[in-house]
Amino acid sequence: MLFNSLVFAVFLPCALSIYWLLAKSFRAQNLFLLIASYLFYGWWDWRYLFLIAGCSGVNFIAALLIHRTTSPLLRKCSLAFCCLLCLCVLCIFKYYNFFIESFSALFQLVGIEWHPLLLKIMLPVGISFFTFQALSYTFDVYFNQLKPTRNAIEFFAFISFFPQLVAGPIERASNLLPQFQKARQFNPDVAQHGICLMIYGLFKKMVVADTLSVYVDQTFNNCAFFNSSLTCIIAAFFFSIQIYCDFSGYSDIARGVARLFGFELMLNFNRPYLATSFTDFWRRWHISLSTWFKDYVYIPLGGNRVHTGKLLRNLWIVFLLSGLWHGANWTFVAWGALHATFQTLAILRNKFFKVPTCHTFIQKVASILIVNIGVIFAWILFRAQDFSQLTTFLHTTIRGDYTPSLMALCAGMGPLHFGFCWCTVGLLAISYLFPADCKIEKPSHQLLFAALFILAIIFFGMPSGGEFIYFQF
Amino acid sequence: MRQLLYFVLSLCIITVSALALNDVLNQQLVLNSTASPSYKTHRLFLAPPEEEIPILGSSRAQAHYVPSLLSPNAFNYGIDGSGMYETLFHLKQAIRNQAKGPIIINLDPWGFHSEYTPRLMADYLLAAQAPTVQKELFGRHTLPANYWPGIRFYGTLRKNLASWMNNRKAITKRVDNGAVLLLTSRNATEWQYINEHIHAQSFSFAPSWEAPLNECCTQTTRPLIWVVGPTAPKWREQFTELPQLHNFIKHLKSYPNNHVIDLYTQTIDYTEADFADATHLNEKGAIRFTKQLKDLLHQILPQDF
Repeated sequence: MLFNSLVFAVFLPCALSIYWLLAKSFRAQNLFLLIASYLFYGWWDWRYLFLIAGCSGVNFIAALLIHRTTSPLLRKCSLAFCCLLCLCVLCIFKYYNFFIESFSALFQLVGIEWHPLLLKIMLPVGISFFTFQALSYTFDVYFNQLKPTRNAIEFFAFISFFPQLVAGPIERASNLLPQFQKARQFNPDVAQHGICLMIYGLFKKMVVADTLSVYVDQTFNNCAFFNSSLTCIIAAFFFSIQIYCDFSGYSDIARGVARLFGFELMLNFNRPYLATSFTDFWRRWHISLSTWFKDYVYIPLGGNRVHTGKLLRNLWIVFLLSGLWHGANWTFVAWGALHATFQTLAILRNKFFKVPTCHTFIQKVASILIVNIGVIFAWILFRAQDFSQLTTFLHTTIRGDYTPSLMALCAGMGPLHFGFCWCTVGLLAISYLFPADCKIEKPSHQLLFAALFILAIIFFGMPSGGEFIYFQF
Repeated sequence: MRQLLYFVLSLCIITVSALALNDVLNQQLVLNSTASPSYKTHRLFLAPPEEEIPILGSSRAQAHYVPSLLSPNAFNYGIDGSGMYETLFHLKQAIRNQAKGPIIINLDPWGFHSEYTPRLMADYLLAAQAPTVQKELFGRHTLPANYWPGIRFYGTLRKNLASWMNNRKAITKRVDNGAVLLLTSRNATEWQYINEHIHAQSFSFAPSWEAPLNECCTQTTRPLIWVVGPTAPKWREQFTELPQLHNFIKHLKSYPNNHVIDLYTQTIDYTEADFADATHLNEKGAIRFTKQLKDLLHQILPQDF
C-alpha cells in the first residue's frame, strides 16, 4: 500500500477510527496496530508477511535468551545466531544474485567459465529497514541498554509499525518500544501537527519528486542522445532535490501518520542541503541510518578515539557498508566510497592544516556550496543504473558542450514541463520559509501552510508518480 | 478538540473546492484545445460534426496528417500512445456517426499487439458518459477515478495546459485541426543515437484481432482508407515479415469500400531530414506526406479530395 494511493486514503481514516475507539485498552490498540500493519504490508504481497513475522520472532526470542542467561558465551552465541539468521535472509533476498554475478564476472576475467544458479525472487519491500530495526533491539539488549519485552504483540507491532515499516525511519527500540508499553492519549495539537507533516510530505513526493523524476529519468536514460553538458548538470541537480523530497517526504508522512496514532518517530532529515561540512551532511541526512551505523558499527570498531589510520579504516568500513545497504550494485558501493573519500580529505585537512571555522555569512554560504557540489556529484553515482550509464553521463557532463538547444535543455519534455520543474524547486524553497519540521505555532499559519500545499498537490501533483525510491532498499 | 475539527473541516472545504476548480479548469482547457486527447474523444463520441473526414490512429496519425491540406472537413483524431485497439474503437464510433464521407485510418504495421485490449483510458475523461465508452471501454476495465467529477481530472492539468498552449503559440509543436506537427529536426549525432537504439520490429496479427477488424470493415458504406505511413530509413530496414504485411494489405483490400495506400513499403524517398524520430515525421515531412497522400486520395475519391 502506498501513502500516495487512494487505497491508503481509505485505509487511514478507517484504521484511525477503530484505533481510537479502542482507546480504553492500549493492549487492544497494539493488537489492532499489528493487524493493520500486516494488512498494510500484505497488501503488496501477503507471502512476505512470513518473512517479517519470522524476523520479529527470531529477534524476540534471541533478546529474551540474551537477557535471561548469565553465561557470556551463550549470550554471544544467541546474538551471533540471531544476527547470522537475519543477515542471511537479507543477503539471500538482496545480495545473493549480486555477489554471485560479481564472482562469475571475476572468474571470467581469469578465464574460468562459471554459470551459477541465480534466484528469481522479488526483493521484499523495506527488508533492510525492518531487519536493521529488529537487530538494533537485540544489540541494545545485548549491550544492556534495554530490557527486553515479554509481550510478543507489542514487539511484533513495534517491528511492523506500518507508518515506518517500508522506508523508515529505522526506529530504535529505546525510543519507540516504550511508546507501545503505555496508554496513548489523543492530543489535538499533536494530531494537527501530524496532518501538516503528512500534507508537506505528500507535497514533496507528489509535486516535487515526481515532477523532477520525469526530467531526471529522461536525461539519465538518454544522455548520449541529448548530448548536452548543461542538461546533465541540471539533471544531477534535479536528482539531488528529487531524492531528498522522495525520501524525506516519506519520512514526513510516516511521522505525521504516527502522530495521528499518538506516536512520536525520530526526525530523519534536518535540511541536509544546508550542511556546512560533509560530516554535518551525514548528521542531517537519513539520521536514523547514520546513527545506526555509528552506534552498531563505527563505535564498536573504535570510533574516532583511535589513531588516524584506524579512524580512516572505520570510516571507510561504515561508508562502504552504508553504500551496500542502499542496494546490490557496485554504483552504490562507489557512492559510499566517494563519501568516504570526502570524509578522509576533511580529516586529513583538519589534521595537517589549521582550518578556520565558518563564522561569516559568506564563509557559510561558500561551505554550503562546496558541500553541495560534492554531494550532487556523488548522487550521480547513486542514480546511475550501472557503470556504463555512469561513464556516459560523466563523459557528457565533463565534455563541456553548452550549445544552446531547447530540445536538449528540456530533455525532450517540452518547455512547459521544464519550466514547471523549476517552479516546484521554487515552491520547495518557499516551504523553507516556514519553521523547520512544520513546527508552526499559530493555528492560522498552520492552516495557511496546509492549504498552500494541498492546492499544490491538487493542481500539480502527479498521481502516477509511483513508488518511493527508498522502497527498493 | 474543537480547533482540530475546524482545522480538518477547513482543509476538507479547501480540498473539495480545489478539486472542483481543477475540474472546471481542465474542462475549459480541454474544450479549447483541439490537440488534447480528451477533446478528440469528446468530439468523436459526444459532439461529432455533421460532415467530417476523420483521421484516426496513434501518435503517427497525429503527427503525419495535416488536415487543412487534405480537406476543409478533415479532422485529425490521432492520439499519442494509443494502439490499434483504440483506433478500431474510434473507427467503430466514426462509422456510427452521421457523416457520410470517407474515414482515414493510419495503420501501424507493428501495432496489432498480441492482446486485443485497451491501453489508454485517461484520454476519455470527457467522453466517459457516452454509452459506447461506458459499455465497451470502461465496462471491461472499470477505472472509477475516470468517472468521478472532482478527481477524474486529477493530475492532468499540466498535460492539458501544454495542449492548450500548443494550440495557440507553439514553441516545439504546431497544431492544425487536431494534428500536432513536430517542429523538430535532428542533427547527425542524434540520428546516430536514434538508429543505434532501433529494435527490429515485425508485423504481428493475432487471431483475436480478426473479429473486430471484420466488424469495422463490413458494417459501413463509407469509404475506409487505410494508410500505412513512412518511417525513417533505418527503421524500415529493421522491419521484418514484409510478405505478411503485404498479405494483410491484400486482405484489407478485399473488403468492399476499403482502400489501402501503402507509403511504407512502396515509397522509400523519405530521408532522415523528414523525421523527428524513427517513426514520426516532422512538420516538413508531414506536409510532404500529406500532399503526396492527397494526390493519391484524389485518384481514388475525386469528389472528396
